[in-house]
Amino acid sequence: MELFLEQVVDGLAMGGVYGSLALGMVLIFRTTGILNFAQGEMALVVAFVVWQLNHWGVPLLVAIVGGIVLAFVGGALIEFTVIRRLSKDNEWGMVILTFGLFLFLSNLTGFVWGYLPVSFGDIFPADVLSVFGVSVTLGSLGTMLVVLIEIGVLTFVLHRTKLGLAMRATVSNRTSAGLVGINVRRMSVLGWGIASSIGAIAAILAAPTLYIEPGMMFSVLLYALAAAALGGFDSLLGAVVASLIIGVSENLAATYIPWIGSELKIAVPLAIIFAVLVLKPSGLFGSEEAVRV
Amino acid sequence: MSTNVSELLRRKVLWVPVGLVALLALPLMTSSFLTFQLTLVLVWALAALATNLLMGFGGQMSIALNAFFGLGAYAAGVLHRQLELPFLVTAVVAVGAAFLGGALLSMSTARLKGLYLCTATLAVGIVAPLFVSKWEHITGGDAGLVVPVPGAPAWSGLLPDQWRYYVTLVPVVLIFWWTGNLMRGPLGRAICALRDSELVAGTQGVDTPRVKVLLGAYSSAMAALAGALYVMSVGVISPATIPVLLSISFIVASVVGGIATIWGALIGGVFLQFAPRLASEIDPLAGGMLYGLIMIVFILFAPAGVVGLLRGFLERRKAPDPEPEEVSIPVYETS
Repeated sequence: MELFLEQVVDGLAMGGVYGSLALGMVLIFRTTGILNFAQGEMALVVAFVVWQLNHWGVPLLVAIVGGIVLAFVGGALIEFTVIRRLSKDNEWGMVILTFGLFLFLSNLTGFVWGYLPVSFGDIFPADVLSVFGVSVTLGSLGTMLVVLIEIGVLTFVLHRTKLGLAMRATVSNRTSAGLVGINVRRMSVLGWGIASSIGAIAAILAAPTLYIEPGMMFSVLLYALAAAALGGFDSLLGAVVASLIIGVSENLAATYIPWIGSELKIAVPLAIIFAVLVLKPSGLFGSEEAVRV
Repeated sequence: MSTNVSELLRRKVLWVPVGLVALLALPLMTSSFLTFQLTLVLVWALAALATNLLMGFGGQMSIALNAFFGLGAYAAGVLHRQLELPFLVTAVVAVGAAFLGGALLSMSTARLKGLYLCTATLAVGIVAPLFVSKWEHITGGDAGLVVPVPGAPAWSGLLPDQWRYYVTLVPVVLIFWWTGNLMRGPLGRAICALRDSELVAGTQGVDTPRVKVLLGAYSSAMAALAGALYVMSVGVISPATIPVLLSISFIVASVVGGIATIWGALIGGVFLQFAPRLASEIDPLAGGMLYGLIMIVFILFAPAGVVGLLRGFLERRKAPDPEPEEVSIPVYETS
């Protein structure tokens, strides 16, 4: 039973990491209608920068804040230089574009930092709490707390502020939003910047467990995609709930179904994606799309 | 004068025989290694054509073609190695299996569109190589499967590489020709209608689910044939050859050649075979970065690929148009 509960808690912590990246993807999807396959690699670059700053002697906390700011600037820059040049209706063009970004950034990190895994140590104190006999690391608690704060802030901004209203209006109908005086281009830039920062937080949270190396974020990206698909690409809460479900289920599957083990662990979220999409194409919490011809 | 040249260039009567003769003559004039590379160009071209058909013409964003490439390669390889069936038989079995598999995948994902389809097929594309490494007793696992490659029969008087080139060339040319005709016919128009607006296609009497399933089955079979031909030439296949990135490579080839074209796939094949090697001579990692950059640059500045650029070039040379203007059909905004 204790093993079971510990696996659940570990799964929740990893689920929190996936959730953070998934939040970034859902945010970009909601503010620009694009599914950003490069989200993980953008975050990876930031994780490497944070490690590099820390390696040069910058205190970890300062480096992390710097990294998050850099992520915002980088995300906005990518929107500004590349994304906005393509028509928003060109869906497959966007997919190819973000795959191109993915390949470029992924090889760029290998080019600059090499393929040896690095780590900047623990972000949260390494203490272990014992709750009803189950040991929980502060790292797991901290990760979950960060994700909870993220979703709280995002939900507040999107649904309770004028800025959020403008962002939602932009994705709902670009032309009409522009006509009522919303600067739609600025909304796009902001969406990419914020999403990139949230993604970067995911990479920083994952860094102590996964180590930073090119390819590190690819599996996280898959889990985040699975979560976004499961929760419906346009639901923030759905993405986080789905991330937690995926984090727990992959951990339990790897522990209790020996045939799956660590090699096929990654097949679990993929099977979930496939099954959910086939059975309910708009995800568990997503809204049905209406098409006007 | 220049008008005549571009007029001639547009004539199929001229460039189809020239192209065919060039394709037939190339291996006789080059080294054995270059012939081997040219065989792979044809293999990639076939895979890129499958991608063009699925994404460019059909608008179905499927990233699972690497799974079918692998299915073709492994089915042909395992049957050839274990049962010692001739390659022709194993290739037919592989293509048949992929046709059914593709139909099955399209049937289960028929309700999905755009990004949702993309994600679901991405899952299939990623899981496929994992299962290949898991089923070690059949597939040889991560170490890969070594398949004896066929040599040239004595009557042909050809070198083994040349023989394998021609064995690849014949089905590839036939499929290109057949697919080109298909896309000009009613089924081709139905496939394009699926891309432009599924809803409208449906209301105009296109049986969209049936077209989708056919399209998925046909392009999966094509990818499987590419896989079977690949293993016939290279003689070894492993899970590392068929990661989901292979599907993305096919998309790169597609985009570079021209995603909604037939012959652009051949240009894509040339690109896929030679560009990474040229890039890795500069730096091994630069290859991947270059790939990414090329995808971005082409999508932004030449969305119709090399074929689109050539067409634009020929159109411009034609500039003072002596023919009567085409009747313009009013296009209504769709949103």
